[in-house]
Amino acid sequence: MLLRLVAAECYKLVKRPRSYIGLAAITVIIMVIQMALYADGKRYWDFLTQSLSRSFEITGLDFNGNMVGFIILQTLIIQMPLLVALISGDIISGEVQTGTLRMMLTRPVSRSQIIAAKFIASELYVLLLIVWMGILAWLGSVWMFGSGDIVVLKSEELVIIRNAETTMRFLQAFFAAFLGLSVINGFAFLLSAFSENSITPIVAGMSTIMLFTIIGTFDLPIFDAIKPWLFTTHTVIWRNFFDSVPDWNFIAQSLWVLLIYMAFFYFVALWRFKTKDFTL
Amino acid sequence: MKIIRLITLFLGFNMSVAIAQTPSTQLYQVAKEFGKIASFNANVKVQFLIPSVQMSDLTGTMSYAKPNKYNIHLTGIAFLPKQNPFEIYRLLADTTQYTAIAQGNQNIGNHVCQLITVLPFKQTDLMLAKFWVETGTHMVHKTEVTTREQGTVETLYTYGAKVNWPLPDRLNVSVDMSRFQVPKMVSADINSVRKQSLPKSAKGKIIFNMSNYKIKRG
Repeated sequence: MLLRLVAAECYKLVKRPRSYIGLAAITVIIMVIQMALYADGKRYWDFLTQSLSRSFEITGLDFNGNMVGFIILQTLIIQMPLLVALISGDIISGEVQTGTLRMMLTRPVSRSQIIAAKFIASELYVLLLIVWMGILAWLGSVWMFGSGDIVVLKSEELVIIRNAETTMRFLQAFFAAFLGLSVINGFAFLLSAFSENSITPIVAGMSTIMLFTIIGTFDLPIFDAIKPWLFTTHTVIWRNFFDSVPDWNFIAQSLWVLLIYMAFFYFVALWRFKTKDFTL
Repeated sequence: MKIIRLITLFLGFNMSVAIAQTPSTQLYQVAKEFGKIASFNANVKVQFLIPSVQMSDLTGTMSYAKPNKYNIHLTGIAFLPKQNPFEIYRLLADTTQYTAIAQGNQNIGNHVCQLITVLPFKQTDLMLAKFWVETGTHMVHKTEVTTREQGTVETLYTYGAKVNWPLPDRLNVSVDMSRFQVPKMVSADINSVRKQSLPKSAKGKIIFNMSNYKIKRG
């Protein structure tokens, strides 16, 4: 029964034009960045590394697919939560608003199964976004530019990942990015369970993500205490797979935090859905 | 007659020692020793100890050909000194271009070296160069080259198996550098914590470990 419900939810996602906004946005952004870097990538790196190139002769710093893939990943991963919130924020509340959920609840399926099916369908959508991004941003860029070392730009250092290590690092990073976006998905899903129209959870979800991201960006001591508790601090853990020697303990801790957040959001949404009176 | 011969021989010996000990002559001897090499190839492993740059070692090949053709071939991104490390020998060959001042003996590792400071006559990019030359073998064990463009580059030379040739097994190059920094939003490094204690400037080290020299005599 659950599988049939998941299939039905996926069918609904496929039929809604809104589902294609994320895929289209990712495609356009990736192609624009690829074209821009193809045309002017060398100048971009020259600008960023000018303080080092005064002292050293930097050789082998040609743009390659791995580097382009990494730049796209770090650019898009900030925007992707908004695309996920656009779908997940609507998945329950949209049906409450149109009244189709009430009809669905008359069928002989439990509320737990309905919510599980909706959550699995939204997770599959997140997976599709990540896979699509991986194919276009990483494999597409490698096909276009060839492979090579990655230069990971940090605010106070450069990390160079050798070509031989890049495949494993990308696969690990995509897995962590999927988990990070799943938390965003869970959060928007939770807001959707509490709302009776589509707009409120989407806007509230997007605003919260933006607020948390801004707090994470500021180096102010007042924010230091709350940063570890913000889920956006952990959703960018994928970047740590591109450290010269990844801190596995820190990564494992963050992945656990993401899983706990995801479970928390899901179970609160489930509780709300099971106790909510849809007849009113 | 025998006594006159002995005196002449003694004086001649003393004079040659005196000539050899002038700093310019000593540096000329260094250049002359290196000038015996027409070209060489070697395998090289390069270590990068550069503050604010995290990168693993690279292996490749290094080649040199007279008078000044130097090439290092590595697969991947590398940070290398801007100066050709063998350029100093070309500089030293023409003793009319600089004045050399001996500044006493100093130990570099286990080697007793004479510190010679070189000041070029013409105003070029090179401002000052210091050489630590081992007395007797004419091997350079350390250099400190100050240029207008790149500041001071210090190089330590460690010799091993090819001790008959002035080719080091290990070159340790220290370069003046400024700290790397970009805004957080440019690097998209959202959760990083700024390290307040980092100095504005530092020394970056590049260590070349050479092996399997193939030398052509010139």
